[in-house]
Amino acid sequence: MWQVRPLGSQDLAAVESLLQSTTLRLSTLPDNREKLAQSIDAAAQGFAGKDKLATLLFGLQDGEGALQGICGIQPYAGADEPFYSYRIDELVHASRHLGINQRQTVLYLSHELTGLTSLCSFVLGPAFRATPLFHLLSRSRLLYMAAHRHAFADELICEIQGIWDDQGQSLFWKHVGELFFGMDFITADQQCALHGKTVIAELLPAYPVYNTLLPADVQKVIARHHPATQRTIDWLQAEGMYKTRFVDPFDAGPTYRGKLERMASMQAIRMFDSINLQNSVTEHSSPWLVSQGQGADFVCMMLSGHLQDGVFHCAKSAMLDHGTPGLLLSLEVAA
Amino acid sequence: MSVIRPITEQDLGVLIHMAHESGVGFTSLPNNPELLSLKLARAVASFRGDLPPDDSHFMFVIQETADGPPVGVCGIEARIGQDDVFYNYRLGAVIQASKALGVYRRTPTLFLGNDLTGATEIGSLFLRAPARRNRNGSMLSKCRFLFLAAFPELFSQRVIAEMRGYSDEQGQSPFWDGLGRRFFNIEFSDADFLTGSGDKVFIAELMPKFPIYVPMLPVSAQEAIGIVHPSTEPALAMLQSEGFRRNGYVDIFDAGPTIECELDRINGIQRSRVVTVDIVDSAAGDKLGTAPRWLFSNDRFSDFRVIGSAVAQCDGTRITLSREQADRLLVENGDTVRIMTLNPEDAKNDQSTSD
Repeated sequence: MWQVRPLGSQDLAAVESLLQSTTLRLSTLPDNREKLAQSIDAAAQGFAGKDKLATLLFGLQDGEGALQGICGIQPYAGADEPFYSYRIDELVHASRHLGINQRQTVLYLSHELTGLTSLCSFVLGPAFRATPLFHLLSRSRLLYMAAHRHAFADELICEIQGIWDDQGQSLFWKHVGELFFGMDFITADQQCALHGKTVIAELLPAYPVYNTLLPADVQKVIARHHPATQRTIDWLQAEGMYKTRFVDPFDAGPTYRGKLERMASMQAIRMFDSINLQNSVTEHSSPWLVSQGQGADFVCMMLSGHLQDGVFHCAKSAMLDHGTPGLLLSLEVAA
Repeated sequence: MSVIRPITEQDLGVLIHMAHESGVGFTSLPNNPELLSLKLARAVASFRGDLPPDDSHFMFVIQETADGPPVGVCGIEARIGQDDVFYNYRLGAVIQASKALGVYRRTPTLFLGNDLTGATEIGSLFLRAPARRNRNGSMLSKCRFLFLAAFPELFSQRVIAEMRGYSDEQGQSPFWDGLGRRFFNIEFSDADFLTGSGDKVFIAELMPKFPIYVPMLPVSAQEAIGIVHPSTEPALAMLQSEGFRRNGYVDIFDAGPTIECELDRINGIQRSRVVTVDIVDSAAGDKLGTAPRWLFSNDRFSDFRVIGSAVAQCDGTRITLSREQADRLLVENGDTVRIMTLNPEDAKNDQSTSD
């Protein structure tokens, strides 16, 4: 049975090979064994409640126990450092005297999103993206947050990967960041992995960038998402998150934002007191995400069943503890 | 021998002609009679002492004969940015450095500012083509040092000159195309016309207020920063020989450099000296058409005069002038005049007598 559970140090090799098979690159999951091990260790501290800033990492495991996906929650974007974005803003250059009125788009460095909770580190093979496993992996995080509400901010953000070419280079980086670093996007990305994203972002130019000074094709990629992220965008929008005027300072990918409590899934989450394990599925059954456990013991899976008087009736599963309460999220909710 | 005097109301017609001839790129002589008339009126009032010193704009004309028509003009703005806001870019730098990352990058950056507000500007120099001879251009340019030396209390110690920036044969400015034009789609020649029309401040207010990272500009625009127009190179070289240096500021439209010198350190002022006049009827006058090596000026404000002379018959603190020279300078026996060699290198060889 497929399930989502916290990653542990035993998953290091599996995480590494999963990352190698994906075209996406994530600064929270560096392509570096040592750094990766540190991230997983930090997550373990987070699950244990010993590090409130640590990015929590979850793994999607198939019936054979093989790792098929990863997702994460950064409770406090930027952790103990500023979280950098560019805010797309506008200035009107106008002269009554000359009859000129022109809107100018300007990118301002911003720390406004610092401290919000970030949905991050999402990795799922293309073959699974159009299946219910996408929901199991994506939304398991909402169940975790609902079960540990105090550990997260009231608002969520999700940074979406911007436009990269086939070589993994970003046109936006080439015309902005690279001017100040003298290193291409891939190299900068590696540096992010080694030193953390903030260390790099701190070197970005502090003054605003006038869009009009960028070549037309660069202007076009600002706030555009990578086609591979379409499924995630559809989901975020269905949950009620909206596209902000903030973009990633590296590749200009868009950032989505929304109130945690207002997310469609959060509003649909129900509690159950116990589980009634049955031998067969009843006719009232519908698909649910079911989660139990705190911290490192958290587990989330997809089951068919029904909720009645605080009892969740479902088919037998070795992973669930029928005596303990948990949370339910109907997959029939729009999102 | 040419004579330089303050501009008067009667010079409007000639001034309009000169503005027409000066063409695009010469914004201090707008091709607009109404604006020129205002400019002229301000200069006349300045020489009368009717304006507060900070608002004064002095304009001088040169004529090749005692009563001939003006053939050139130049000016001194006592304090720039008092009336209109004076904008320019300071070419500075932003450093991105990280030891951990092994990054150290210097990014040249243009900072918009009004830093030069209150400085004295020498400018508006135009000489009609037929009169570009006998060092008339040099005289026009350097006569201003004599006025600054005579009335330093009216001026800032910070004396600047804005040099016309680079534009190609078609009048296209690569800097404008790479920056200003991105903000309003106006041809450089039109923007230039607007600024000459007294609307410079309006255009300036439309320019980007945040610093501009130079590497974000097209290469052609980057390369034009601080480059003077080929026709301005001689003027730049001449002012440099007088002690003017680039001060890191450039024009916001064409990125032409601003040069600057402390008033007291202007070479021409340092090598000038005040001497007492002895008029001798038989003193050697200059032959018509000879190039001057000296400038003499009187010490009068409203009736300021400068003449050129091939020789200076000078003995210590006294100078011998011909009657004709004295008349042109409006001086009598016992008056003082300020004398200055036209070229700095001439000062090294002698001062005093003749040649």
